[in-house]
Amino acid sequence: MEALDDRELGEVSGAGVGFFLDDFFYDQGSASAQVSGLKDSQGNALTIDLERAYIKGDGSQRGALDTPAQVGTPLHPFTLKVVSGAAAPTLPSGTQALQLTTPTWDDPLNDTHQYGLWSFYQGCLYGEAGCTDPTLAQGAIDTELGGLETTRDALLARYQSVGFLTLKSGIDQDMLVVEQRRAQVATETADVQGAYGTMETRYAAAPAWDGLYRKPAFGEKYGCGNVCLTSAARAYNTSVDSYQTQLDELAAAQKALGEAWSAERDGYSLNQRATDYDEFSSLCGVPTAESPTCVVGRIQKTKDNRTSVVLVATTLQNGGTRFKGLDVGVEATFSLPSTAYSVDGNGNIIKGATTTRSDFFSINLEGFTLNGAYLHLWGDSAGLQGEASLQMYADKLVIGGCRNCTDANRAVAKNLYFDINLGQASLQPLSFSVLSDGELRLSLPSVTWSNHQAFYQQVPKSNISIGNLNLGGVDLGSQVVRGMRVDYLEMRTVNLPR
Amino acid sequence: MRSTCHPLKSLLTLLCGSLFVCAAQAELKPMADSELAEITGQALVTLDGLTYGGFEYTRVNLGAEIDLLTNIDELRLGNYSRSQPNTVSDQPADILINNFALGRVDNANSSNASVVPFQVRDPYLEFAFKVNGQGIREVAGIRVGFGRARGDLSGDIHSLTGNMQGLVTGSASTAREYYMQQNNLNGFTCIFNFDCLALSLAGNSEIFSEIQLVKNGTGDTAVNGQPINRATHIGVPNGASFHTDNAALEPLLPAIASNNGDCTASGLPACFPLLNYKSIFVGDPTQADLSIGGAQGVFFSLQNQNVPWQDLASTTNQFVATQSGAFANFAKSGEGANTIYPFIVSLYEALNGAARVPTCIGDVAKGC
Repeated sequence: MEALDDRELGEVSGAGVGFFLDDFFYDQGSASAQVSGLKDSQGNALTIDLERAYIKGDGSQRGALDTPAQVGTPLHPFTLKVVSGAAAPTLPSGTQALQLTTPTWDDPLNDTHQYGLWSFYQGCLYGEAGCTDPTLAQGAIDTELGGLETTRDALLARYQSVGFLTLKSGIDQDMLVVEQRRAQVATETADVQGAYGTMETRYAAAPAWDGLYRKPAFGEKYGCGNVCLTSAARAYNTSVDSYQTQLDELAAAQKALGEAWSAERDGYSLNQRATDYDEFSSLCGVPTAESPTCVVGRIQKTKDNRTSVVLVATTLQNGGTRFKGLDVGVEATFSLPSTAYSVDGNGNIIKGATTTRSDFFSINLEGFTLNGAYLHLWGDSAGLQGEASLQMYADKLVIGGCRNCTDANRAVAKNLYFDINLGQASLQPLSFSVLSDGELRLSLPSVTWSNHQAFYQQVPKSNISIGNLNLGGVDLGSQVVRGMRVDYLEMRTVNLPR
Repeated sequence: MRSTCHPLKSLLTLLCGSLFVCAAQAELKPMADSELAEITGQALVTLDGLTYGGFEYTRVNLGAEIDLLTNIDELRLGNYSRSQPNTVSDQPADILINNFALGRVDNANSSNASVVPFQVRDPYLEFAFKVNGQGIREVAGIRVGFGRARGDLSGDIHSLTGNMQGLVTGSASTAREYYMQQNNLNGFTCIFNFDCLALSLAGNSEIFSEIQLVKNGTGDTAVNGQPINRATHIGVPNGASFHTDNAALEPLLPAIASNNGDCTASGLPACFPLLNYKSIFVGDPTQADLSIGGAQGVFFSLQNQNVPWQDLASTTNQFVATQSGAFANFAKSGEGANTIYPFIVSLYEALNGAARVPTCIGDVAKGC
């Protein structure tokens, strides 16, 4: 490091701080730690004894080796600063926010989004035995894209002679009838419920005998019809008739609604046409011409993803390597009340005694990175606002319940990628608050009619994927929640037990 | 004075409290000792342990009330090769739902558009462990569930493994109309067809049946004694029939409205493609109070063997049997008149398909 001269200092705007940690590791060693104050649902206390915790460099063999860790570099540091304008383009005009960013990389192997995407399609952990071909991911996404395009082509062919604008127009016209009849079904359903309630009330008040006629089963009438001796019996009989009338009307309304959904144009029912139109819009975006293009929607998104997948695969094929991540682990013993359930001699499951159980539990992350994540926080009249993007990748997440065992006894998630985006500063700021009763509140305002087009274009979606999950030696394949957007959220914590 | 430390809640509260520089509107005042003595701390998280059938369970409960509208392009769980006899489709995953959504939008394509959120109470994460033959305590399963859930669930369900118990209900006359339409009958020719005549005799009586995930073509819920997986259809199980509250008609229904292994009942389809059920209502739509109308026991799980998970909807200590792979549980709760089904569809919906409720604002009904 060299001293700056006055001219160079004059260039420094003092906009924030950057930091990184080089050649460090943490190991709890023989120190002990305990977490207490936790309870079970019956209010019984439990404790957690932390036996071991470590943060080391990738390749530490779950903390056995003191491999130095590096978090960020001088060129790719964590940063903490106040931003506005072009530095944080999602912020509302005139707003300044506190910004925390994790190391940001542009190359495909260290950009979490691109590498995480590729790792999902790859499935296996690259570099392990049987997983040395990085183009497996390319084959997987090509298969997916082919399936989507086949569906699109079938829909285009089905409505080629009709045109998609005409198709939509017909759907809109027919849906007017559906909406009217749906409202009628709702009305008739309420009427049936009301009539049923009246019948129940009158049945309860009806006498055991009306002259020679015994009280009938619920829903059936006294044999005396409209000439029963008691007013209660007559009223009940009337209510049965009314209930039947309402049922008839509901049946007619349901039939009419069913017919509305079956209304045909161009050889296809409304139900089919609406399904097809929605499917096409999902794949290619809302049609704007009779013969629409397919430049947005899920197919284009998958094509964009394919570009990233191919780029990562090619870079790996050319010998590219990733900046090493962290190994992080915790081992603990839980002492918690445990209730024993068992089957008795009659085959019934019975609840037995509650005793204290001592469970070993471990969590290890290997090759853990947080590249490309950010957090923006600011305050306004609505309180603390924010937007956050968590970009987390790990080669492995290993969860165990045994001390002396192998990964064949644990849960092993490989190629774990969390792309969690909460809030968008202008369109959907994330709001935090503490309520007067001490509970926490987290909210994301709803998409609205006035902002829905911009909302769907700009509020980022989230993804969670696991390339392969193995439980106790059994492969359960990949798991994915893809393209998730929270359009509205209102969350409030509640004291447990309720 | 009594105080209790709850680390996670305290940490979160401290974090939020320290950051809420703009949120505080009222003057802060010190509390008296007597007021402080009333504070016992609050538990955002609780842990529960139980054992059953050789399994040990640890459940982490989060106390929360959540209202949300979410759209998800794809939910795919248990995506691996499977070829057992009880795998009843060629779908690639145990659970595969495209355009999955929770919640709905009313008046979606107008300026009056309004969000009707999906409600969730007390989500939890649970681990199941089992001591294997070598005495090693190994991870057997993981599940995510909800104490209660209520609202519209939409999606293109390509495959589903688990419990999906619903109730199909409607007028016998609706079934008759559909039957006549499908078989080119009219009011006169109907009387010469046994099924059509039987449905005519039933008049407008309400008929109903429980429906479950079934194998297409047969209505089987199990093959060789093993529950089916990767189902693509739901319907009246093989051997089950429609029922009615009409005491005179009830004895007749098993004869005229049973699925006898061909996925028909009274000549009507008794098994329906899951793809036709584009939206279902989880919980009781007539009870807005989540405490009453919320479905209990809803969960998604992954396990490496037949793990029995505690049925949190049960008042009789029941456990839900699962099988290796991914599993979704939308089971009924309660018994008799108090039964709450995770979803109820009318017969005309079952026969014609349940349309998707809008889950996006604007032109696009899904995939926004």
